[in-house]
Amino acid sequence: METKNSVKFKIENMDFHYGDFQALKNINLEIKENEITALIGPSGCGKSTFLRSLNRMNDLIENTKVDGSITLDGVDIYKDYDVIDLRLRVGMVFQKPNPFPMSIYDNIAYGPRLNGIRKKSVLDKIVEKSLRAAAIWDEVKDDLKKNALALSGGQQQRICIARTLAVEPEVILMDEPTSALDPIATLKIEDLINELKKDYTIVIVTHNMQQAGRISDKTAFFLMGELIEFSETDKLFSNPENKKTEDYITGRFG
Amino acid sequence: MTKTTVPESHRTHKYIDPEKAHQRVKKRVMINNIAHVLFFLTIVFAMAVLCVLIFNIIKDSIGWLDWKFITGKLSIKPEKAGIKGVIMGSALLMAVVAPVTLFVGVATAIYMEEYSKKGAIHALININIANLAGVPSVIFGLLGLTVFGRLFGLGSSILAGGLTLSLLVLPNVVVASQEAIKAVPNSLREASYGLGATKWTTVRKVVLPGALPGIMTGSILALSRAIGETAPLVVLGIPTLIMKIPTGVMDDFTALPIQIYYWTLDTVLTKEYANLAAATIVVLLGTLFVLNSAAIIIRNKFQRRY
Amino acid sequence: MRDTLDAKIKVLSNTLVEMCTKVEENIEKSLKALVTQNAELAQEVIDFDGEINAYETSIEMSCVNLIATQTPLAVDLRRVFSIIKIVTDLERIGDHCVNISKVVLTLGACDLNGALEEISSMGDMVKRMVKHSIKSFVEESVDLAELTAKEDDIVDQSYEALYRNLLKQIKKDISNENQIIGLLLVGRYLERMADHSTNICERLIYLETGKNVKY
Repeated sequence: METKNSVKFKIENMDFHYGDFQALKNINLEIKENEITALIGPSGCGKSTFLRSLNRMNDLIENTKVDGSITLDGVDIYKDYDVIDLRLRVGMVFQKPNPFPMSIYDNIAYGPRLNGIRKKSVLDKIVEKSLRAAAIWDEVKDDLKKNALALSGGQQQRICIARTLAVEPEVILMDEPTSALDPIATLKIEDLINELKKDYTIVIVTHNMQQAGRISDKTAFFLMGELIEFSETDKLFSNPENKKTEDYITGRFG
Repeated sequence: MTKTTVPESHRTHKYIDPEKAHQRVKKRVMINNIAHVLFFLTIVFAMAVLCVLIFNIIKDSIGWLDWKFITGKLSIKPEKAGIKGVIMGSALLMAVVAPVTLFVGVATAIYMEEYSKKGAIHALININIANLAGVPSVIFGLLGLTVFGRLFGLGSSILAGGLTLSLLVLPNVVVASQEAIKAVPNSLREASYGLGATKWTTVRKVVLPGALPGIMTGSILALSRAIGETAPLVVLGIPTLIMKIPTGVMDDFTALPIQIYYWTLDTVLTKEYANLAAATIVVLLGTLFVLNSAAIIIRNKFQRRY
Repeated sequence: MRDTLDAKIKVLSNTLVEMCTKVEENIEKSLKALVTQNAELAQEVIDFDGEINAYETSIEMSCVNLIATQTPLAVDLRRVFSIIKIVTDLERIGDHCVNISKVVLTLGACDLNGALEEISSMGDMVKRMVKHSIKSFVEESVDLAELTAKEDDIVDQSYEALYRNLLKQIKKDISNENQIIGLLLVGRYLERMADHSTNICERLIYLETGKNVKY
């Protein structure tokens, strides 16, 4: 089932430090276009740190250092990118649904407005398109002026996904996007992620191994800051190569 | 509590002896009741003192507090005296304090929370701001006298008084704003950055709107403290009796607490001054009541939106 | 919801039907080879078995991956589990076709027309059972499954009759014993095929009702 998609992110010999603590050790990984890549591993294994390195969200934390290289379409994102340009291409969805305390419309229009789009007709189009793509248009189209915080958790998360889509990124990073949601809302988001795969490259961190299995094409298993195994999800879940991976996914870890 | 007998075989407690525990229950219930009564008495005491105070003041002000009193000019003769000038003085004072504290206080809080590096220096400054809030107001009066009154040559004008009071309440506004900014969930900032926003855009569009209710509450409470302060103004050397009603910030002035202070002092000369002081106190209390109510309403209305 | 799981199970069912068609073809061919004494066709059946085995392996792998990644539960789990079992049955039916073809190769020309007719009618019955059992599975029809499973008794009776008939013949003329034993084996193989079809029907009934029944 080897796919022929082109490489989007290429990570080579990457190290990551929080002060003196080395959170990631010599990571080498390729993330391909229009695929869902899942990052799994126990808490503190570095998977979230890795994810947040891909749009330089870790820049916000003081005292961090990245070594090695991460390239997006061949361009080094730490050396040859302005961080804001990067974030327009690599969007992010967070663990807890975090809509801004404003109307649904303003939430979606936030990103486009930052980029200078002022015309109401254009904004209207972007808002509708993004909400449709996030499979929530039908549920909210009649009250776009409603405060986004009045929606349910699952709806809020889809609003957040729509908000990310509104700046037209190529890659979407998701940091445990369903960990705060109930099973039904979770499955809805999973279906949505599957749908989004056609147009976007998706990297998702999840604590829920079944979720990684359900939605991803490739899975990377992290442990203590190291990338232990990276392969097709089918393979990793039915016949992993590394003993540590086997122990983790069978629940015999530690 | 009735004693229940549990068959030996059904006893589930390994370490606790239900017999003994039962004996202790009575004692524990009694201690609880004593505590309850004690706490109730303290609040009765506090309320009683407050009631006596307010009762006395209102009693003294009856017959003196009327529309003529509020709109009239100051006078040596008690029956002719009015506090229009005093109210104007306090109002103009607040017109200086409010914008200055709000701007400087919020700007400081934003810098401290959003821009500065969180290291040892940051912590040191934070502790100092908190300590400043506890410095006696007289000290601020001396600072105001030296810096605004003498150095800047503002004398005992409203501007000098307002700036001095601003310094006095700034720490409160800074701390309240810092808390309000901290209460804005980090996930919202991350969402904004994630969409390609800069720090300033994030502060302006996400952090400040979220922190506004907290900032407003803190600022109003600070204002209500400023409006009741006497000591710094006394130190600045506010004249005892001003007949002229102030119209600008460079005018000399007197304010509600100051006038209360002087009238109370002069009660030995003219007995009726006590009634004038009482009437002025009622006006000041009314203002404080309105301000504090506004703060509480804002706080409740916008509480916990995330 | 669960679009991926549904899609994957659909693909799995389709592959199963494909495999079933191949198996049916082989049954058809092996019987034809027997009746027409066509060694070439028999060899074709034997060669084709590799493909059927490949289907088995591939479907099994898909099922394992599906269980590993999609965590199917309740009806989904029963379905995947049933598919794994059905594939084994189908593969065994395929093996029996090979066995029949091997008999054809060793049989040489023979003249036992009466028995051949019986065998070929029995073969038709088995072929229909295999087809119907898979049809019942695909269409999730418990009725068809029950009906098909009951046909096994008729096949068993036919086998019984064939057995007696051939025994009689061997008593009459000992010189044909090789052929007769060969045909006995063929009958036995067909009877086994019918048993496997019955298993498939039982799987469907388990899938739909959660009950394990035995016919």
